[in-house]
Amino acid sequence: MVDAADEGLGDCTPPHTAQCAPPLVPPLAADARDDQAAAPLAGALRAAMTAQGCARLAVALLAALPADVLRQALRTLDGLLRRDFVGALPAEIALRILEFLPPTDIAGAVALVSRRWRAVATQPWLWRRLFRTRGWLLDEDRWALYAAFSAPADIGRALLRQDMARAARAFTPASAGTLAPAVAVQLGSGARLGSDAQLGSGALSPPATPEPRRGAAWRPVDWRAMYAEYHQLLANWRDAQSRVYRWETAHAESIYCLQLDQHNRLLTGSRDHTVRLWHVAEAGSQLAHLATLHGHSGSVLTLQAAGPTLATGSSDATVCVWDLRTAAVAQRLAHPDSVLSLRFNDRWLATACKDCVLRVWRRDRATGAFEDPFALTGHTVAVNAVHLHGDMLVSASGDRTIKAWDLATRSCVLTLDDHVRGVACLDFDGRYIVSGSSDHTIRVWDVRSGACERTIASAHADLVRTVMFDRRMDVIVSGSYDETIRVWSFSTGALLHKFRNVHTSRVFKLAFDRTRIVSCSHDRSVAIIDFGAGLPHARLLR
Amino acid sequence: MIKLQSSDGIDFEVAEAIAKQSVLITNLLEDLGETGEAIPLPNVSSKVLEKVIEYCTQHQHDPPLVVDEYDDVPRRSDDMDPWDEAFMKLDQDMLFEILLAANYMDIKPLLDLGCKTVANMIRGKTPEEIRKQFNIVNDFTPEEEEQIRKENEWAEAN
Repeated sequence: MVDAADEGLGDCTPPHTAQCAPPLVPPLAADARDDQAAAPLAGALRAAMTAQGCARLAVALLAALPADVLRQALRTLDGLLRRDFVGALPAEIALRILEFLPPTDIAGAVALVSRRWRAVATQPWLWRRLFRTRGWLLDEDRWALYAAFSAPADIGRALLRQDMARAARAFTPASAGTLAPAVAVQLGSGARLGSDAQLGSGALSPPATPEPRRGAAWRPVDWRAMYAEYHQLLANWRDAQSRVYRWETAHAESIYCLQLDQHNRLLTGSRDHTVRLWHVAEAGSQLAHLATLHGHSGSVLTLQAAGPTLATGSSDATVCVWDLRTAAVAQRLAHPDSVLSLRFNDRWLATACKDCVLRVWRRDRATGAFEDPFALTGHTVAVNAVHLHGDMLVSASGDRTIKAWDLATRSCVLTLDDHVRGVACLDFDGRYIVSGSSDHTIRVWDVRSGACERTIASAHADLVRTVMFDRRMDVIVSGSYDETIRVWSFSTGALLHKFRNVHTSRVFKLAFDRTRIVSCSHDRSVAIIDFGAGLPHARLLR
Repeated sequence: MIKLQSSDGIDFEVAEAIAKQSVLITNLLEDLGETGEAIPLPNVSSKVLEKVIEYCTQHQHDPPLVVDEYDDVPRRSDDMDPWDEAFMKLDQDMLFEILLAANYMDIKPLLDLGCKTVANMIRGKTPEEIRKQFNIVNDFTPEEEEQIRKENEWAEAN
């Protein structure tokens, strides 16, 4: 039996006895005199006759009626054989029935049948389950925060504080007292931090802590509303219902690389040799500069951050491994030429170098340091992009091939060579690779079979410079030298939307999460395409 | 053989593999041991028990259910096998009683089969069609209806 008593089922208390609602069709006209005459008669007959006999008598009586009254009587009889499965069964069975229905049916039709049906159809337990079975996640910490404040401005300020607190955990030593963002800029033990590093002025001044609403510090998650918002968010992706925000940044030159994390922290790397850290306001409309990291003497071409570790690769032929808690360079890894791309995980760091060689460091579990480098050779032209998943490394090269490598055996296990010009970018989720090329196509590859599953021909009008995909969301997002950003269906390759005026020059890098695409360009701007605009809890959805 | 007794006092003798598809009976047998006495099922009439036994007989060689009750995948109802689908062609009152019996006797596959069958009777229908299907009276005021419609607009548009 479904044990859901502690899951909020207590809200709904349909009686556990089966009973029938009154018939739907207008009942046969009642007449007190008839009733008086019929009651003792019916009782006597039922006592004296078999059930079959009663039925035969009833049919004989019915057969003598005028057709319209007979029809009415038949409808009434038919109603007696129908049952209210949702209203009259125990709630645990009713919920089980509803679970087999599309949520749009539950919200749209089921909730409108009757009050009893509505009571079952609005169970928080049901909606939480429907939400989760779709693989959706909710940032429940943030829900608590949303619940504690009523005014949107207060929520915004409180969220900013929470983001800063979370950021501070990664960006300041544990001993640091205040969590204000300014802390991040006062660090600078190893790196020089820019004087412009501060949590914005004007609109985004450091927030005063708003007082939580009295007695409203905790409120259970409204799973039905969250389901509706998530549903709308996906519809917004499909229909390209979005708002575009664009910022001319403080970077002096092109922005080559970026990463946005779920605490609204954005890192950008530029041709101006710097890495900058920003905070994107929850509503998406403001970008606050938090810090500038100086450590490279050439363009910052690639970066990745995870936890307190940031790795950056540069045309100065080095990789810097930063400890974001101190903003210091913990390791500097020399290369013979520009580092075009890098990825790391808990086991490895892999870099793609202009000299055609892939280099891999093993990550020390205890110290997090990268050591014992080895080289993987096979590409004949510069390696433009790498991606890691577990022990599998994939690389894309100007030599028109994509290679997959097993780092445990240090061998090339797969070469994919359908692209007819150099491969500029790729993304990899452990099973599929999506690649973009200067042949203007995007290709989807299955690493298990080694087959090219789909080709999006003429995906862009120029080199495809950046690509990312998410199978659960069923999207591929790509950015190109043709200055556009395009959204595709992963499963069909169909173009869902084309964003033309987000950037005024080549798109160099993009990334997306459940609610937004963030991108950077040769035009020195950072842009956000926000599909969560108008959804109050969009940022809680994961 | 296991003896089961319906609420109206009729004994049914069935093979153990058939009876043990009911978690209730399995637990009872474990607790009491096989006494040879009929196991009383006071909530199940002989008509319903007959159908339940028919189902359990058909499925006695099924592999045990391994699917986790709360596995995180959406439930689907378009995967019924043809025998089950034919078996479920029942009057509503019998289907209703079978759901109650499957729940009481804790026969999960039968309970799910019944729930799927009812879900398929609801799927894609308007509220009015659902009311007709199950003989339910609309007890909302027009204002309440309007309010609910507004709340659930998200489900209409798509």
